[in-house]
Amino acid sequence: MKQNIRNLFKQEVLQKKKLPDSHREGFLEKLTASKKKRKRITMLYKYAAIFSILFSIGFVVTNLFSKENNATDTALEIQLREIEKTYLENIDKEWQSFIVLTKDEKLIKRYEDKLGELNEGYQEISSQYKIDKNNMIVIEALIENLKTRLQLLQDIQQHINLLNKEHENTTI
Amino acid sequence: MSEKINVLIKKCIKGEQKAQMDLYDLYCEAMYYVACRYLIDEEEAKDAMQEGFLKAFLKLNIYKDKVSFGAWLKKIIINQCIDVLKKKKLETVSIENQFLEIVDEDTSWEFNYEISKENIVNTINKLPEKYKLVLQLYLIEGYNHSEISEITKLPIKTSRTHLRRGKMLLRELLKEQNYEAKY
Repeated sequence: MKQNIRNLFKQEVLQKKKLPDSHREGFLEKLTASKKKRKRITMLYKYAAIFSILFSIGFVVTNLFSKENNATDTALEIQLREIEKTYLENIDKEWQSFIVLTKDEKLIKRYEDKLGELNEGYQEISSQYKIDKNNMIVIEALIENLKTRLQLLQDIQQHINLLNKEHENTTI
Repeated sequence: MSEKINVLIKKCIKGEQKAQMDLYDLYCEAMYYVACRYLIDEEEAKDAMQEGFLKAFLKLNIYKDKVSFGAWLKKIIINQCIDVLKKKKLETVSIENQFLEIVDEDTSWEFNYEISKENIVNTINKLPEKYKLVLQLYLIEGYNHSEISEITKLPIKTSRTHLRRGKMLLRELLKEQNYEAKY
């Protein structure tokens, strides 16, 4: 006679086994300890969460601002650099032709000194501008310097024109 | 009964200690019985059972009443016991051995009628740990292979092999005891 032993266990009702006397107290202790531990962990998580939120807000804010600054700065810088480049190229070009055309050492020296002074001043303001990019006085001073150079360039051009005319006249 | 348990569970989720102790009182002896099947040392079994309860309290919010609370809790307790066994370095069958295994076609669980349930349980307890574990999970707890694989973290193939070998050993041991003389 056979029997499927799997069926023997199918109708299994939850059997019980008597526990040692002090098991309840022991469990209560473990339960309280685990709650305290969890509470500590939750508090730790809370602090960590608050910290990380503050940190990320700070990070985002500084990032946004620095991006904004970068954007305006680069736009301003590009503009300034372009102006500077054009001016300097023109000055250099005209300066070279001016030297070729004139043999007036005093005149050359005078403009050389002026341009040198202006260049020094420009470098100084530039370094200030690098430190404090939002200072309007510095930016104005930079523009002012370039304006003066432009003025000087115009003076040179006038001189050159005059000289050219004289040169033409003499050759004719 | 189940309504009472549902109320208790809701209170436990809120963290009410009294409800947690009530739930413990309701199930501790049954769960201790289960734990003792896996851990011979009764002190160890008691600790594993209590740890299992603590874990269950943490997981209570994910309990869905698709299965009875007792069955849900039992799985956690068994898992806890297996964790303890694993810490004691439970032997597992290596993959190479599986290929050497002669496929045993015996899928029947037909045993001599005279064999008592108690005798089967006692004999299973005498088997090597790895076979004992899978046999207990399959035969006594009624889990299927995928559930056993999930609980023991063993591949299904391995747990099938353990079960097959375990059953063979069980038959042999029972035969030795003259219950399975005809086999």
